[in-house]
Amino acid sequence: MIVEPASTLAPPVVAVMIVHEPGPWFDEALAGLSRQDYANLKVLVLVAGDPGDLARTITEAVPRAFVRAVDDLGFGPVANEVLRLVEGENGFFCFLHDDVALDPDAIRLLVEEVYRSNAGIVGPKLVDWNDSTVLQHVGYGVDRFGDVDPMVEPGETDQEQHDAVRDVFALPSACLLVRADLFTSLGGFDADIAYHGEDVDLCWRAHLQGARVLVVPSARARHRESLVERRPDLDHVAMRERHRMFTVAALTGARRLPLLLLELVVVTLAQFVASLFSGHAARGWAGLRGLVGLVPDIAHIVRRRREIAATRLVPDREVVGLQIRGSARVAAYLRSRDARPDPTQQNKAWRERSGGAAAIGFLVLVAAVLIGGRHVIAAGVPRFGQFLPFPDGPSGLLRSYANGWNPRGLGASAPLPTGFAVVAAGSVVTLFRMGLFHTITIVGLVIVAAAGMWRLTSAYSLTRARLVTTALYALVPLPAASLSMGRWGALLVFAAMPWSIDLMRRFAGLQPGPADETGERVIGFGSRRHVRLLAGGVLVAAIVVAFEPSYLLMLLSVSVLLAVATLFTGAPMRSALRFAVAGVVAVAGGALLGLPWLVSLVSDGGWSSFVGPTPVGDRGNTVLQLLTFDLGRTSAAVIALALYLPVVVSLLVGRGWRLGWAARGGTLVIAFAWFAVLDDRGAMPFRLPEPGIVLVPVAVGLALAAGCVVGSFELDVRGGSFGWRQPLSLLACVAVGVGMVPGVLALGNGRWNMPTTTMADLLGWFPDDASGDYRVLWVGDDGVVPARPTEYRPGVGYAITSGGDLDLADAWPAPATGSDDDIAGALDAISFGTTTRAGRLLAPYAVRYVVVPLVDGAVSTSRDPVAPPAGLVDALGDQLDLAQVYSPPNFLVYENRAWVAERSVLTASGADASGAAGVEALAQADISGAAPIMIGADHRDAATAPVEAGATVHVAVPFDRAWALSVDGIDVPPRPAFGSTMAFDTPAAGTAELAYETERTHALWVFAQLLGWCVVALATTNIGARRGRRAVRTRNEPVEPVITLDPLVQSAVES
Amino acid sequence: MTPRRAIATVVAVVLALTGLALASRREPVVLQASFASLGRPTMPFVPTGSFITSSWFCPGVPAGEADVGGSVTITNPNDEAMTGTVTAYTTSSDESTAGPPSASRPITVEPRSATTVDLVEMQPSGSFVAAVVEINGGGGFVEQVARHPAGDAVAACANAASSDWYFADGFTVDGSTEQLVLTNPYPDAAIVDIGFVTADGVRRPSRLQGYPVPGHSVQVVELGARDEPVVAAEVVASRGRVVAGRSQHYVGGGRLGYTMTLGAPSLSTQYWFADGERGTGITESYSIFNPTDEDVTVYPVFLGAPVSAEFTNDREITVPKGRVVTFDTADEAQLPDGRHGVVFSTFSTASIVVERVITRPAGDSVATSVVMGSPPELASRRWSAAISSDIAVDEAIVVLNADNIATTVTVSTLGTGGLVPVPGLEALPLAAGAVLTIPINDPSAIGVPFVVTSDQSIFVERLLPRGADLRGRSGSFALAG
Repeated sequence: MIVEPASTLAPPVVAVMIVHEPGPWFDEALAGLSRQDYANLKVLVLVAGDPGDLARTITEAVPRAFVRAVDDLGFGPVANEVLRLVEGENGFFCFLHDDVALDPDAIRLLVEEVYRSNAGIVGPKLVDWNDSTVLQHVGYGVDRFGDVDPMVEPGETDQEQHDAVRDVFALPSACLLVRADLFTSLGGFDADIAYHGEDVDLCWRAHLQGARVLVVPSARARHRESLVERRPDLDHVAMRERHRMFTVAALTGARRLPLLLLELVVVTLAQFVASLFSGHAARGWAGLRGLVGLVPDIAHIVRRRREIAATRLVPDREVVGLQIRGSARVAAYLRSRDARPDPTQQNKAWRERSGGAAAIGFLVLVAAVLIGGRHVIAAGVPRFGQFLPFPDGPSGLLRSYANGWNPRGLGASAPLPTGFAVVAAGSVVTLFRMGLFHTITIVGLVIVAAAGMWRLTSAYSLTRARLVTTALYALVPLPAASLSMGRWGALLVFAAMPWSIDLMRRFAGLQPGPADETGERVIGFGSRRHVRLLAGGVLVAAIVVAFEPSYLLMLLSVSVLLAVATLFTGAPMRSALRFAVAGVVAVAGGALLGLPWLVSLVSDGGWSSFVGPTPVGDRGNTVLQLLTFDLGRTSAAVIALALYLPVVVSLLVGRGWRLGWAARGGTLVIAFAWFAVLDDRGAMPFRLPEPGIVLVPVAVGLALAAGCVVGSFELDVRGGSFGWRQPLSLLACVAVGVGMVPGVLALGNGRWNMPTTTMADLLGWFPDDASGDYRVLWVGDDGVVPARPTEYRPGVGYAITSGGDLDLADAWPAPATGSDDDIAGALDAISFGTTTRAGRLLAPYAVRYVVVPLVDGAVSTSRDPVAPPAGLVDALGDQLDLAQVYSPPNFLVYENRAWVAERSVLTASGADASGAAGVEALAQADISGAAPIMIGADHRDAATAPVEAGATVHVAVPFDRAWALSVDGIDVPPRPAFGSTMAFDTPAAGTAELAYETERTHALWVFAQLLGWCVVALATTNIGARRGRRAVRTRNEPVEPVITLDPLVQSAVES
Repeated sequence: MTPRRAIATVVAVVLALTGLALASRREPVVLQASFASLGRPTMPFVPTGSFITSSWFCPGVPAGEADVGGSVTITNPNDEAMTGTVTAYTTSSDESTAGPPSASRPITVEPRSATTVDLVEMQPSGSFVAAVVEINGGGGFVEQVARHPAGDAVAACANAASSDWYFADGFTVDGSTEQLVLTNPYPDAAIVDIGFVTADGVRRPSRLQGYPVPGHSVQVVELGARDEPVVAAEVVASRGRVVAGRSQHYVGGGRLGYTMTLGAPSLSTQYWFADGERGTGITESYSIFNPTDEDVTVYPVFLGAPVSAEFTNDREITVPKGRVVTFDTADEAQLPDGRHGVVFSTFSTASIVVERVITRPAGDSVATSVVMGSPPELASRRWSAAISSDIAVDEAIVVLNADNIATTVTVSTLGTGGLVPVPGLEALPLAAGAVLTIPINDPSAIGVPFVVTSDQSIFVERLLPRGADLRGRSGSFALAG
């Protein structure tokens, strides 16, 4: 139904204004439209999103305007609605932003120039909204990489120097007048470009059809150009770069495209490097991401090129001739150097500079970390604590992961830790050089933590505050303590926590507002971004949980506390709830991606699998040690106490977002400091993870508070009237600097005080497996046991390792088996003195050595050794079949003279004894003397050995039918041996083959898990979202036109 | 955030930080993790509770010569047959190397009976043979008897090896010999430091420092002290642990006979003796050894002897650090003749070890018996003995009531369904703190294990014939429990 005929006095022009949540300036923009002196002007206002009472406002200002509410799909897609709402092609469309105020004659002058110059697209001179003597845009120059040269300098005064009508490559979409037929034939704006770049793309395509693009300076419009401030939910830099890449890839001629793409790669990389030093790292990074983003978009690009090729009228070389030769970016930079300083930008000068300062500051931080770990980087990370080497190469790790047999401890058909697969996948970073990857995953975590904090502090609008927060987080004594004690789990949590909080923060919509804003700014955004942020949170949680399951507890508690703090700051309930929701989703998702290992872990170890073994008595840290993160070998950690002053001061002097984040930081500090203290004293109803993990939110809170103090000093205190705030803030700033001293001191050592000689270095003492594969039973103080201990008693743990070597897999809990009770039973027998033949009890499990760790170099040192548990050495000394053998002073070694190899042929008496079960039978049977077979066999491959008829092959693993033995291809049924291990009585002589058969359910689990990780990883990207947007924008539901440009219809209506 | 909320937040944070500061006044309690509560090693006893296997470490019997030898006697007080293993270790010709391979023999002990295994028969080589008896399921008790021409000596077998062993008495006057018999039942070598104390002071010969005791072997150590009336010895293992016994052959200087005594594996604050006696021809002395670095004052208190105005029973003896002091009851002029018990106490920490030397007339000669005291924790209402007298004798059992309450004592043998009281030895009255001697003359009690029970804590010693045609008795404690 046509409701408005076109006038016949002049070519019809439909002014299309796209409106989205306008501000107070909107009245002026509407007034500009209503004052137009053009005779045949129709106004179509497209309100994106919720229209509210905008229709009334618009019709009051422009009585004959057509107002339509449309989905908020972005400027370009919304503008394209004109193709459906306006019928006919005999006229013009004048697209306008809602923050553009036209001079009264602007449209008339534009139309006149279109006819005069036979142009396809024309645009006015855009001047500053507040000062119309300042030029904003007179068209764009564009180079072959799609980079835009704005032609005018920021703050350039309009002295009519650009007042000649001239051809330009592109015009800003803020106001451009397009021939309707051209716009229709172009198909409108690219529906995939919501913001940033839709104008360049449209004009480039117009050039391909031979249309001229002109700037008409006699026509003038004022423009606010405040999209960045109005839509803080969008990543403007990334969008700009992504769309630029897409446009170049889609519109460049086929012949030039390969070379140009090559150039684009080189230039983008060069720009990225340059951006690091120029303070535009975000832009450089966005360019890199945009370039990489072309890969998944290849199919779409090809389709788009086909569509454009069908309408291309002008050879590519002619279009290239219209583009700027060389680099528009370089040209703009060189011109800006020669330009006079912009007085209007003087107050922003420090912030412009701070971009470079941020890059330099971050580089200094990275350099400090590298210097702090120079010896570690050069010589490799010492093997102690949880810093054990990776067990295998990536293929070996993946094979182990897929195999289904977990060889840790006594071995069991149980899922391997998800960390196996994560390490294997992550090793691609170092091109599968596992040693280098190991070093990076330890030393690099401090840098990852700093990067996370930098990202989190994008909630601060001040680069200086962000720098201080980031530096402080990296330099609190906590990471140095964790490094010195070999606590990889604590380091992982330290590195990941800022990333997780940042994703929660983004999900909650918290954005920095202007300095004078009273409260905090909360923005809303689309569901796809919600999904992306939630997926990011899940991914971060899943990666950490793959190594440190207690992260689930930490994340959940942090999110709840942040939600409460956010609510307290007066932020909307929705925002607070989102903190909690993001945390819960990350926890749930992280746990799901950790399946099935996580289930196995929890069912085996219960709460202890999260929080570690029970300490005996208090953990032994004083409140001062906890508050100053003095958990390792850090010098002058007590100085870090100064960092608590900013926590209070930031609350006293902060306003706006500073106060909000000070409250959140303070909440984390107080809550988790108390948690750590109460847990240390055993005063909590349940145990918490180790202090190094519980204190991570304290470090986050201190860093956030320090940033808030600096921000408040900059924005709230400095320049104000003198009072108590100034000296207090200054004192807090000084405290921030002082508090970093311990972290700086830790850098001097060059190895973060990690031990030079560790227990693991001395394990070469253990003999090779020439006399059969064997296991080692470590038993002692649970803090000194070099593998993940199973709790035997408070403070006493034991672990079983294969041979004398230790690797990262030993840092994970061993799977529980029914035979664990036998090991615990043997320890009971030793402890209570109920036998002097405990070696026989351990023999069926191939335990050749019982080792009491004394000095691991971290928890227990030669200078300050941790005494072995009381009675342990005496109790072991009572055993008649355990012979203490000479060993390095770091551990006491008892050789079990009754041991048998992991795979062996039992002696006749041993075979007879294997039919009996129970500790009594074991203690009475001497099964030593068995002949080892299949030495060095790997559970992932079948092993073979010749056997005699009537032999009893003993396999020292808990009875499991997945293990199969055949002799010359004939299966031999297994039977339990000694009540818990496996034996095969061979009926005939031949070659025995022993193999583990992976269960089908395990394979399905692995596949499902892989699928889950892929889905979450995909959800963190824009790929799915972009495809979804395309689907929305290409829908073509029938709509009744409301305006016609058709002269026949026009005549009919008039008649 | 509203100003009111901001103020509330600041107050809350300040209060919380103040709370942390206040909490810092309490220092954390750091405890050492405990794997086993083994307690101090002590003199042998019959352990209770369930065992997978229980082991008894016998200090050794002489071998390698005619007329010497010995055996272990394993008693099964239960109603089911008991199985186990006896492993015999012996000395090597070269002290620095391990001896011949150990010899093992499975044993079965029928219910309520005892089995004796001749160690020399099992392991004929070497000058001393020691044994480890492992009993499956626990429940029995083991003693050894060393046979010597100068007299048989019964000794208890230790419940465990130890890194420390102490002997308070030693006597090398007039050619009497003293040997320490060190047994290492473990597969790895032990290293011990041996020192001894004479009237001249402490001596630590270099040849006895870092002295190796190879695994599964017995080492016999001659201390080298000549004509010393008192030689206390100390064996401290710097690596591993051993079982230490002392073999003494008295040939003069007022002592005659042979003793094989298990050392004391730890020091104590008290030592109890049941069989003291003062009388004509009897010499009774106590060697008190203080190997610690502090002087201690020891208070001997005689039990079962009437206190009078003349006999105040309040003697004090100062034992200097690292020295041994001999206390002769002859010096206690007012102590009445007759039987008495005695307890040596110190208010210091566990710092002493005390042995009693008593020489009694034996026909035309004398017989010397040396007994290590019993620490207070062994005071028990039940005492067991695997070895009894093969002939009817009076005063075979000496019981001391350790409590200040009158009680009764019953001597039983092992019978169907439990203990069977020996006729005439049921509910024998025993006054508070008194000493009671009991004969073994009922046929049912001769040559079989026996158990002494009471309603109060008691100490029980045996006075067994020395064997062969020798007169006199050899004393030894029964096993508590």
